[in-house]
Amino acid sequence: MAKATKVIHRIEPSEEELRQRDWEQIETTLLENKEVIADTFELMKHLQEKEIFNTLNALLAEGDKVLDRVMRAIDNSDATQSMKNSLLMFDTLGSFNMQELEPLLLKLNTGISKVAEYEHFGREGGGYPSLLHSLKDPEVVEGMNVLMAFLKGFGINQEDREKMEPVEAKLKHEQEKKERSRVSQRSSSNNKWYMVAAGVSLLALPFLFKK
Amino acid sequence: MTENFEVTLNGKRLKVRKDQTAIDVMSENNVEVPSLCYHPSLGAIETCDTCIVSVNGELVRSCSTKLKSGDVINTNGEEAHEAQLLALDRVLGNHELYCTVCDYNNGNCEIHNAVKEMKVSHQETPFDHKPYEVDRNAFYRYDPDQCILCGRCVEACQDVQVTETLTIDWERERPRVIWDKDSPIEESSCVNCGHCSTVCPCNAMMEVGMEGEAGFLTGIKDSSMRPMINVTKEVETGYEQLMTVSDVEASMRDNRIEKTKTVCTYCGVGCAFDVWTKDRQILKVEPQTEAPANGISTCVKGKFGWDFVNSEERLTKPLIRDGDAFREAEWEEAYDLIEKKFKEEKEKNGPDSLAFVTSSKCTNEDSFVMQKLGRSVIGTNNIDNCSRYCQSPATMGLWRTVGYGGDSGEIKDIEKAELVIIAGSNTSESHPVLATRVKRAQKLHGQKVIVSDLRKHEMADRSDLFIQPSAGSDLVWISAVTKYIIDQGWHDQEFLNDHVNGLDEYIESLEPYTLDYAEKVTGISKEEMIEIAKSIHNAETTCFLWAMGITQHGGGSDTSTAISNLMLITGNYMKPGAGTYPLRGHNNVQGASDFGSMPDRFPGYEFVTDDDARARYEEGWGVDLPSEKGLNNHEMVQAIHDGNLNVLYIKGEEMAIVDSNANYVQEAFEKLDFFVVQDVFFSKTAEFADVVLPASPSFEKDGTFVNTERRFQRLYKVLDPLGDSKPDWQIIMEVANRLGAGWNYEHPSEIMDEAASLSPMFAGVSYDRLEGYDSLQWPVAEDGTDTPLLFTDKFPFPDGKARLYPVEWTEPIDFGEEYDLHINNGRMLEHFHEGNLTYRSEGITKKVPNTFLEVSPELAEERGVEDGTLVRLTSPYGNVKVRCIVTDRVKGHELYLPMNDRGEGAINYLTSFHADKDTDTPAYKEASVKMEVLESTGESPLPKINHRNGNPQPQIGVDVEKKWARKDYTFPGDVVKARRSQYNG
Repeated sequence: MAKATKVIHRIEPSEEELRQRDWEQIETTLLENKEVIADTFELMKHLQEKEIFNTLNALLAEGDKVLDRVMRAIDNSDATQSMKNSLLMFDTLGSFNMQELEPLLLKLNTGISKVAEYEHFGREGGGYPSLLHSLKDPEVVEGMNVLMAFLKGFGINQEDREKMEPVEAKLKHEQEKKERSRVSQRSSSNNKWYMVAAGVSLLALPFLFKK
Repeated sequence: MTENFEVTLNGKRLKVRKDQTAIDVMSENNVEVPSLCYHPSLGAIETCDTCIVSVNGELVRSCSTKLKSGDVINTNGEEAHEAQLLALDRVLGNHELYCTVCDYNNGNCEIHNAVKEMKVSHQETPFDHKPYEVDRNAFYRYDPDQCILCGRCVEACQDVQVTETLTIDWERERPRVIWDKDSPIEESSCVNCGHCSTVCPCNAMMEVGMEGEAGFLTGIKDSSMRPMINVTKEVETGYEQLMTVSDVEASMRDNRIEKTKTVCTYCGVGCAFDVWTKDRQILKVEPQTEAPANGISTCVKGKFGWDFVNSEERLTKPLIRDGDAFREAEWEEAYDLIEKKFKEEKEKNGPDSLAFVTSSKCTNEDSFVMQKLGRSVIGTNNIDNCSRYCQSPATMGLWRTVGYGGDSGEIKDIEKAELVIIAGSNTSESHPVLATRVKRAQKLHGQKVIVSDLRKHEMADRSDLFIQPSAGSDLVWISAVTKYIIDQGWHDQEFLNDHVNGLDEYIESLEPYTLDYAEKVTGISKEEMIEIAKSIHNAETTCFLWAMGITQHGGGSDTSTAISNLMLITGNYMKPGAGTYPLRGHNNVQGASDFGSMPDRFPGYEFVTDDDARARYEEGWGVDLPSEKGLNNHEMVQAIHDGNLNVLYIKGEEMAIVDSNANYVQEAFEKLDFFVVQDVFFSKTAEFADVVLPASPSFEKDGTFVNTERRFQRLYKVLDPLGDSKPDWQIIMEVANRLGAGWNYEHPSEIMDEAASLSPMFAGVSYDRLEGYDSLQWPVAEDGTDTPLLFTDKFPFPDGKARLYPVEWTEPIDFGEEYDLHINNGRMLEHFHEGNLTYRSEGITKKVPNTFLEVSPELAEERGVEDGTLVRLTSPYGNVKVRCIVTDRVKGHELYLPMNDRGEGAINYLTSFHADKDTDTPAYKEASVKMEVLESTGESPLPKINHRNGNPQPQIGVDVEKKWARKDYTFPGDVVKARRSQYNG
């Protein structure tokens, strides 16, 4: 025989019981992880010595305000361009082939040394003869050969590898590239006489400047 | 027969099926192209253009290109690739890529993934903000700035859910998705089914539960978020880095967001979905294409109605009555008391003075152990479940005629049917996802729909023919239509000869059911009945769907029988797209009975009086079992009043309110010597208990349900049980063990294994065969072969033939002239039953804060009633107080009171204890009242923001032609072709 009732007396643990329960849970956790805890305290000691806790506390306490200020400052300054440049630079570094770059750097270093040794005084007005005379120097000739190789590489189209090129332009360039290759295939035989003339001229140069 | 032909895909010759599109063939062969508007459950929408490929040299959208023999598809040619890039670039003009700080960045953002796969580094079309604000309600939000106008949400709303709220306004300078005629979401006709947010490929249409919660950086304040996005965009040197960083962040999210599959508990459709949780916080419900019953579909309750799981009002400790109050106790003390009382009662008055009621919301395993406790530990067959209140008459009708009490086929069969007849079912509110299949089939594929109901609900509104018979007269018109069909010679003689017994006797029984008689009794015209007969005759396949409007009557079993008779006469069994479909109300109404929570049957519907079956269970359980049929729910209440039942154990049922004549039931509870109630919340029923045990809801347990299609589906534990609550099977096992049972189940799978070993109907059911979204439809043979189509070559009777079963009409009870208004009752979309669960959802309660009484315009005028009028309804059994709304959904002296109230508006304070003569299912639908106005004016109980006040805008799909007609639109394929021809001179 039971009349309907909605009255429920909840078990309300006392403050003391709740505290005791919490302590027991903490104790269990500590015992289960004692090695991790020892290492963590070691790490925390170092962090405290370096004032890192205080800094982080302040940063986190004012997190929203700090983030807001930082983002607004970045958003409204040249910082974005510099970040962008850094990222591009980072990408670019990845494209260098350091192994192949080494001889070039060594040569560059030697070139710089030579520039450092070079004295303008007394040489001004040396004129073309002086320059032409230098062409007899085998190191200068070799230097020009190296530079020619560099220039050749420099002339190869790298547009398709550019990070900043828009899609539309990329597609357009691809199309134009194909167009050009078709045209160049068609006209390659017509251009051969230029190459012959250029070769003859180059061969004649040493004789022209011979004293 | 499926027609096959050959095509070539990227140089490889393939056999393909007729009607396949290029994208179908590509995805079958793992050839991927972006496809941002295409979704396998929605089909081709054709708005995004990213799936362009070359077919026979032409650039076409692969999603909509039907293949022909000899077609040559090329997906990786330069032109197709260029067109795809152009299309994707346009998409990016509508969607800002801030993936790392986006809540949708969970590895499944289709825009993110397309950009990555296409190796897009920069966009040509700059992102441009749209001049619209974000709009949101309690469930989801729309961010126009992130919307790529793919139209998936519109397609889902228009043609899958078929609520027809969303469109895209292509006429604007900047098109956007709009609700109704450009209403705010909250004031529109949106039913918050969640389809739009489920299918959205990005974060434009997103569940609000996800906002600021899914990502590590997404909770940042708006004031910092915008500068952060700006900086990220400024410094990025290409999208690769952005994608990498956001991919890393998305992977980190996997560490804290759990995705767990479960099955919905809000109706019998059996929607399955993943639940995304962060600790105990529910971020979202994510339906999956492979979910067998629902696919991508959900309703508002399934998608958004789970707040109750974390409610502070949950029971978390056992309660023990102490005088006129309860006190919290520990489990051991509660078990001590139960053990003592159960043993004393059994000793003193025998096992049959105890009874057990299991829940149709709990799992099969919970039900199995409950009936095992009653039968094998206590020794009584006094076991039942709440299908007694709804579906037992339908089951009875099918047992009588076709041998199995279940749906003839799958929901897909209902979709396929040429004709669907719905009687006594408010399908779009009671079984919303199943209703969408009918609405879609009717809208897109010409399915014919006939509805019979007292009330003009949504399905009636949409039907091709709507009839409103007098209350409780369905058997008459159904029998008259059957007779007319036979008289016309339209019956399926061959089917009847081969598969059905009792034709002559049945035809004889139909004699009284002439059209004239039926017209007089039902009020339906002869022409309408002839139209129904013709429709059935002309349709190759007919499905008959029914629910409580049929079953909850004095003759509910007979009307269900008449339906099955009609389907047998017309040969609408044993073929896909046909048959009988009683729509099961609760998630596991089917399973609770399947697993033996019935007073006369073991699991798998074997009778307790069957010596062979009983011997099998006795051997399995090692005890003697009672051979006499026990008491059903209805009889239990009477037995308590009669002093023959003293101890009751109810789990998960709000019997004090959902049983008819609630006052009578509550008086019975007061008379019990000992009453155990096991529930998730402190219910009305619990108020009468001596011990209340805290149970875990479906999200906190493993198990299986059986849906209305007889389909077994697994649910996995999403969260740990809250507080000291426990899964039902575990509590029941612990109670049983206190009584000496010695059970040692460690997981529900072991319970299922035991059930499968004892019940031939479920022989092949196992958790291994139900992994993830896998499912099985009973009967399941030992080798795992299941039965999607219930009858293929015979019926489960000794001679393999179905039986026509003559029935007579039972006139509804008459309450007398004083009670001049008929009160109909049933479900509403937003709330589940008495509302113990759904009123705990703030968003849902905001939409429907209280139940309401629907009054016809005629009656309103007659009695001076308007929206908000407070009335008292009185029947011979009690009274309710409720506010009114005036609507033409009801007519004349018909009232409609949704069952969703626990207090003064609860319908069962009005209903009688009169019941179906064959199953004791209460005749809830046979009630009459008188009405008095208490306050003539007041606030409408239905807020303006309720979808019923909205203004839907029906159209087919997204109306993409309007996009194509815009001046700023050119098909990317044409752009590429033009560009190529320009370069080629």
